[in-house]
Amino acid sequence: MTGYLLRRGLMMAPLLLGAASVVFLLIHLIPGDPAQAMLGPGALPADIQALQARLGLDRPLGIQFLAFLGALLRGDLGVSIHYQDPVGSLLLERLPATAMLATATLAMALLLAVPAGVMAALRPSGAADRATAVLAAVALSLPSIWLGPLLVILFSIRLNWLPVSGADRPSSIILPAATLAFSTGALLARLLRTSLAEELGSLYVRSARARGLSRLAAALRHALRNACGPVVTTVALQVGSLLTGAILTETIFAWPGLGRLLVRAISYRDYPLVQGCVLLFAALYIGTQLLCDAVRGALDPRVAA
Amino acid sequence: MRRSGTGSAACGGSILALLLLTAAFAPWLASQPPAAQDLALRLEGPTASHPLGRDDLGRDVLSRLIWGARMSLPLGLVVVAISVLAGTLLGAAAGYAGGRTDAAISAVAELLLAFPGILLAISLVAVLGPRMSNLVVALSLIGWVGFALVSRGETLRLKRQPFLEAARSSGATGSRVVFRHLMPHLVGPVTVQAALGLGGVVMAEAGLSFLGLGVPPPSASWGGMLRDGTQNLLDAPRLAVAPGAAIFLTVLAAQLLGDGMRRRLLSGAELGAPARRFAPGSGPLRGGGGS
Repeated sequence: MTGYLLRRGLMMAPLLLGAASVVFLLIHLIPGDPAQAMLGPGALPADIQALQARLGLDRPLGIQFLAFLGALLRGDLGVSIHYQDPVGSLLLERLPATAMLATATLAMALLLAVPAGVMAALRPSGAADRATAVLAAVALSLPSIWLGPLLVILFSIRLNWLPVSGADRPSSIILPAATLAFSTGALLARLLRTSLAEELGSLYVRSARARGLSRLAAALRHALRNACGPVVTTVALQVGSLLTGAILTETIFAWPGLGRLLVRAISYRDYPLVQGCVLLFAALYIGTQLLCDAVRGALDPRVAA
Repeated sequence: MRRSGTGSAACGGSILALLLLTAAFAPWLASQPPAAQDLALRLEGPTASHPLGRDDLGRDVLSRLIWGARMSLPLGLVVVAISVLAGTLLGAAAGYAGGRTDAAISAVAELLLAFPGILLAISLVAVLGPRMSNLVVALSLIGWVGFALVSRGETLRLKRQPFLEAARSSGATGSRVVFRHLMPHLVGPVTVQAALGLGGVVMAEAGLSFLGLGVPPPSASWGGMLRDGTQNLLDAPRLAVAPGAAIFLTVLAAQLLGDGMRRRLLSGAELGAPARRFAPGSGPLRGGGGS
């Protein structure tokens, strides 16, 4: 297992390097002079020159890139232009809120997906299966930027049960997490249904049934674990859309996480901060895939062999 | 026997066709130009001549919805067209040529996939500036990867099939084999992916517009209308509900169409397409035997 994870980890290293290069190049895609763009049209030439020197924009591209990578390895992501704080500490400040939102979302999604997926798989083409299929198609087509406001209208404005936005109360997390959990849950339910239905047809399930286990018991005790493999892989990929979904959802609900920080950074033209956010999102995404490889290996030792 | 998926494909297809007609005839269907303001009547509720009321600048919501179709759908179609073209070609080239070509194309695809969802599109538009052309570039850049993966996988599966061996051994050049013999087999899976992709692009564009990274105002886009609408959730929830419903309907229609077509393709394969007799145990489209 350790060797397997080490191998997978080594495969991720070039991806991280590639992602860092793309993020580095972003700032050079800005039309015109980046320092001018960041300071706005009314900036003084002296200020522009000072910023160019601070960001190292006056040096050759190759040197800039090496300096960027070197600083990155030391954990130095530069200084935010708007906040005047180190980008790294700004990111660390916001990371817990986004992590909390992602965890709550995943928990909610699994709470929806596992019962629905199991019920649907037990009787393919049955009532539960059809209902799950329809609900999943609808949920996957619901844009979070619409679902969020709809939930606010219903639960905050009409019923007055939950806060509209912010993160002051523990209940504040419910609406943003639910907004994200709908589509994630739908996707997971669909996948679990397919992979569980396949497992239920295999010989070991038939032999369990022959020993007198009910369909449900055979599914839960024997097939579910094997059916989880593909689902875990998808969770890893799904975390990606969760993270970007968080950008939109955090904006809707004024949730103080990384997504909102990125949107702020973009509107302030604070490009070092934009770079930091994008890089952290990519690193989190790549890291989650490694984590899910570990979970897959733990679920099914054959994977990690 | 009725093939499964026909109903859902037809349903999704007709909704999309209606939306496209709306986009095409927007100037005749909409009662007002998208930017026509009447500040005296701001946030006016639904009336007979303005069934969805007016927004916070007194603009007719229904007219803006109709004009918005003209923004979202063509943009989605253009992005999908570029992505299909680039992705299918690159994927087929990677799968067919193998070796270094495959390694290079796959490396680029993997690099783009290292950025979750629409993050790369968001960052690109953020640095390039919110313009229609930049939206198309950013969304196509992340869009082609899906098509490349599909067509590469299919190509790898088909590469060793007898009909391609036959074409090769009768002296056809690489490009002729790819374009004349391989591509026709990619049409099915790529079309399914294109329908699903259209929904994804419309959703992504709405998300970008919601963040203020879409086509700049006063042009009407559904995502931008939704963003403005959320400022008035308390007084006029319909301003957020209406454009969101339009996005939802478009994405749902694209999904129904794509899902229906996929099921038709699968059931068609199982109903005994001739290919199956020659290659037992490898029904088209069911790549790899699982496990």
